[in-house]
Amino acid sequence: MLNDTSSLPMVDLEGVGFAYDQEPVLTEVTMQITPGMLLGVVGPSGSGKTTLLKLMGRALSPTIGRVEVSGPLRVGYVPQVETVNWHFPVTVDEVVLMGSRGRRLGVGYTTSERRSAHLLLHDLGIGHLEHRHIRELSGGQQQRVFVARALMADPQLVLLDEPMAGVDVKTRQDVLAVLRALVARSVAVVLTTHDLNSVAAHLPEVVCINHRVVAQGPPAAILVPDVLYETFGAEMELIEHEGHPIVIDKHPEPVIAPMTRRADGHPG
Amino acid sequence: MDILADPFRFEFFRNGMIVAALAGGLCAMVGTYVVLRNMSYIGHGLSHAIFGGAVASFLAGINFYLGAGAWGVTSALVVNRVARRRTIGADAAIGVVTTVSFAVGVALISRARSFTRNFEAALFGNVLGVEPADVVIVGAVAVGVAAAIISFYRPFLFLTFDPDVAEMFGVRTARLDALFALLLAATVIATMQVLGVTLIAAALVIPPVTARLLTDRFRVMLALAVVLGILSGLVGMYLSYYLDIASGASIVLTQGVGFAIAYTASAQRRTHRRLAGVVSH
Repeated sequence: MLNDTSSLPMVDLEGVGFAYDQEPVLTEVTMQITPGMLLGVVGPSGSGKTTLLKLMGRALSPTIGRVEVSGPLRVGYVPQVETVNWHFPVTVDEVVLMGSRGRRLGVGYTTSERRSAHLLLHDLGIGHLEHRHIRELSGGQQQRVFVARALMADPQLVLLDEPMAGVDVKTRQDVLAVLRALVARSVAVVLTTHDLNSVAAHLPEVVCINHRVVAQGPPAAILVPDVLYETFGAEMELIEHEGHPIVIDKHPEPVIAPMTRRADGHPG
Repeated sequence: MDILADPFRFEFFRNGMIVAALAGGLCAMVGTYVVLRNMSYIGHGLSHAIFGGAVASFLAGINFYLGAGAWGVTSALVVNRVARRRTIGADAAIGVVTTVSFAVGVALISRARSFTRNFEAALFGNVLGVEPADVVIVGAVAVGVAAAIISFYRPFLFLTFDPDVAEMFGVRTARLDALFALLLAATVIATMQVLGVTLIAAALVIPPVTARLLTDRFRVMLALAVVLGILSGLVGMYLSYYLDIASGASIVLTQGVGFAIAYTASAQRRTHRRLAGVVSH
């Protein structure tokens, strides 16, 4: 009889806290990442989203609590584009090949590794740019390069830090399609996002964090005014469109002063 | 041709040529990573730190390479450790650790002025005074560093490009950082007698920066930096011989001229590209 391992957690965080030099960033985080999961992490800037991803990827060790990983886990990580050194002398294919977990010693890459990198770039629509310097690409193309590098690792878990920030709609939709295809192959995907309407609302599961887990569940249950207020500290309203929640800012006072009428009766 | 062949009549010059080429290439090879990790200041700092070790080992009657080596490796590891504290940062960590170490050397010299002259070579370089044993040591370090960089080319590239992310892709970043600190310390110690404490930083930085101006590919930059380092060592030696100036200074001045040429050429290339872009639009 085959064991069903699909629901066993690949990463298990229990009571996890993390601090940078005594400054707490995350406290009491308990969650599990299971194969085929597609999880969005939302929260304000500085709320600990990137730290959470790095704890999941074991780039950081928790200050308190434990992060358990089932066996050797292949992780693919897509960093925030702002953190990338765009003046570093590397071409697109060199960046993608960094993700390869093949032969570690020596200068060269194998033909098979080069072919895999080429195919990944081709599938992401940037195969023709593989010998370009990374700085010469548009924002959306640059994001695709780092998605390709993550996929080059043949990952079981893909972590993406703000992958949709500053990219065009087409790239956003393409990247989401790639992520859904990964999930269909039982790869777990966790991504952080600021974009509640175009990204978070379309994911099967969302976790709201603000130095701690405020709530976790499907967007329809999580993206509600109380939770959003607790997460972002700002009032928001919700409307529904084709089953998806749409979050809109609630301004207690008009941001732009209403037009006043001049003495001659014309708007001022 | 006599101009090129004439100095080779002297053994000290033959040794000097070999060691200058090796030192130039070695510093450029390690320096490529130093520059790309924005740690250019470490070459300057580490050479000063090791000077403290050199003085201490002289006083204690310990072999220069052993004493300065242990001191240098310890300094590099301490810098590495201190730099991991985010509130301090790499540049400040280098500043604190290495200047304190240099001050130890200066304090020891001021206590025993009689051997001050012995350290002129360590401070300013004396490539024409190298012994065959020095050539062997610089050669062995160059081979060892090259072997390590070729073997760990891929993880070193990932670590240099994206240190925060490499760990998640299975790169053992802490171990590689420690290995790099060892390679850097070995490079500085081996080339100290040739280039001098005050000029090693330049040999670490100038050839890689010059190569960076000429290429956008890492592998090409690394190879080009090594070639430029070797060439500047050879050309600098001839200049030292014919102009009767300190070898370390002539090597670094040669590198400076190379940088100026590359800078001008790359500026012109950029202008051409920009104009071509305007025309094509």
